[in-house]
Amino acid sequence: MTDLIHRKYKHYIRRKLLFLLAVIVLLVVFFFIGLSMGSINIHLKNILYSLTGLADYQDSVIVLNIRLPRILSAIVAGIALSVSGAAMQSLLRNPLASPVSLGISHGAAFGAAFAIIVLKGISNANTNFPVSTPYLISISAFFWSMVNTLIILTIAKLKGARPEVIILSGIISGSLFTAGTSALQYFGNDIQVSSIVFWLFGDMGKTSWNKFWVLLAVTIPATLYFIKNRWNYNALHAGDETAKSLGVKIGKVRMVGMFFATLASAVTVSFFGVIGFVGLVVPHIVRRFIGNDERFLIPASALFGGMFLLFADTVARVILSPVILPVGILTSFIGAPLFIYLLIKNIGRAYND
Amino acid sequence: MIEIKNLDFAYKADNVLKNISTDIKKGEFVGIVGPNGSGKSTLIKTMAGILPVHKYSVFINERDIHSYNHNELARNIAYVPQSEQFYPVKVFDAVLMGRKPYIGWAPTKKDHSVVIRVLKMLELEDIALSFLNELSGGQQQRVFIARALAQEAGILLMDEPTANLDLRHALDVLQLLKNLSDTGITVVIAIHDLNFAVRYCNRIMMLNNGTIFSQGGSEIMTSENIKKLYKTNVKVFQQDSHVFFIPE
Ligand SMILES: Nc1ncnc2c1ncn2[C@@H]1O[C@H](COP(=O)(O)OP(=O)(O)OP(=O)(O)O)[C@@H](O)[C@H]1O
Ligand SMILES: [Mg+2]
Repeated sequence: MTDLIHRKYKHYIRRKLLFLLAVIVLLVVFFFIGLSMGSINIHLKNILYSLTGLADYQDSVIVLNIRLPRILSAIVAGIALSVSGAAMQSLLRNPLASPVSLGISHGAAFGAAFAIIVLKGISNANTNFPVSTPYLISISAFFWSMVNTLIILTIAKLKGARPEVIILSGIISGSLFTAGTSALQYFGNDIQVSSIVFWLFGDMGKTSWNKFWVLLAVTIPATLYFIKNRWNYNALHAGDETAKSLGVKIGKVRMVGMFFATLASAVTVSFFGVIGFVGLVVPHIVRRFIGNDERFLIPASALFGGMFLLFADTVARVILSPVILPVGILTSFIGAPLFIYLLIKNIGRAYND
Repeated sequence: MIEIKNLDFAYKADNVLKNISTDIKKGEFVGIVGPNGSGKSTLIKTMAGILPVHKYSVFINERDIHSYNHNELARNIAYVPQSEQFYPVKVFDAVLMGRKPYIGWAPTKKDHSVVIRVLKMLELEDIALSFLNELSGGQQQRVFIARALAQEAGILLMDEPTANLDLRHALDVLQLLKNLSDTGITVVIAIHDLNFAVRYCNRIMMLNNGTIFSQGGSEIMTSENIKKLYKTNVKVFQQDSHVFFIPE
């Protein structure tokens, strides 16, 4: 009997590891497909040559300078959004928590609008070829979305880091920023307003090596922090009191976790615009396969999110080629049917629904 | 083991616990009884380190509860709340959470064998791989008790552990707790059933309106005391060495 339980449990754990492995394989496959596909298709052989410095000039430029930073950025952005979403959902014990529902995107959108209209981030606004200063916009977007975080965490701190307080302040602060964005747009000219709208579409085309490295430098510590705290997050599922009795420093775990989650998603949104769906739904898709256990949920959400955003961005690049769509438009179009399919087909019973 | 000195506690303005003092020795099995809202759960939570108390009011093993860090406290005190939100996780994993204060990177063989041992103690082997949210209330309660036992703490605090259990499981759990207290583990429970309390606990603590109204062995369970506590008339019977109560 003892052995039987143990064996069954090991088997159950092995299934989760298998899922992780499958996602890693898919990620690698999509990585090479992404490098190869685009307005010019490049043969796998030449991709490998480019990566090892043996290809001819044209292929190398396309692979190393254009596609590689974009693909790596898509992976890391997907990781950042999904892992933050998963962490927020656990920390707040709320399935609807995500970078978007906590107002991080709204803060960033306001910041972008602020940069474009108030700081004149779009110069030559009266010509047909506005020149934008993307770093100014990104910095402003980041600044304001961190203001949003500060508002949330300050209120939370005053109220003992209670989940419902954090969620409500996120929603309220987010709607405040939305109102602010509307107000700014009202005073902007046509070009400014359309720049804002355009900025809002999440688009991996805005990437650069610099952005990639910054994003990586934020995402790695955040992800490691979440992984380190996986047992704390598991305990939080049982409620604050039980978690406390199991040795979790509730206040600290929740505040620091929220800080990392909002930081990683704020950087992502500030660089690339609003990419909906990923942070909210990827953790739910993953839960259907491997359940609530944070030991697996956090790394699997990260990897699945990276894989998913890379896939979506590749589709966005090739589906109407040579026109490249912003990936923010596609994530929901691809993800929603997938999620509905899993839901209806009852794939994965690991999560309550 | 657990020493409480002049403890006052307030959630808001009014004190819910008023000047509580008691000294619970190692291996005692204490049953806290009292009407709804008298402060049983609150008292248990202050002993568990869940509610913030003043310094110098709660001592665990002769040390102020403030001097413990979180994991250390969790290795010394296990707590089962009166009701807990349950979530979709396998019973095995829920019980494994009791090992959290010990687990560094990953659970060891020992952690797994402790989990399996307590699953057996509470007759949960057959549902070890069922989802917690698909169990009956009593089964869930036994899972939470199992999780607390997996903490291997010297002090067990349980808030109405038998509230959802059928007669046999209630008796089994109480007997289990009694056996544990015989091995030197200190057990404190809140309990409504006076018959159970007097039969299994070696000390009854009567709580009324946030104060200890009376505490001691079965001798304090007189019909006068019970009437004062619950404003209900009960008849006290004695047969062999058992005391039991029937409402009039
Ligand atoms: N979180 C809280 N905030 C404010 N007041 C509370 C809180 N929890 C309990 N109280 C109050 O404290 C008093 C004692 O409550 P407690 O839960 O300790 O009672 P109890 O003896 O466990 O009752 P029961 O038999 O119903 O479980 C009650 O008056 C209750 O209203
Ligand atoms: Mg109670």
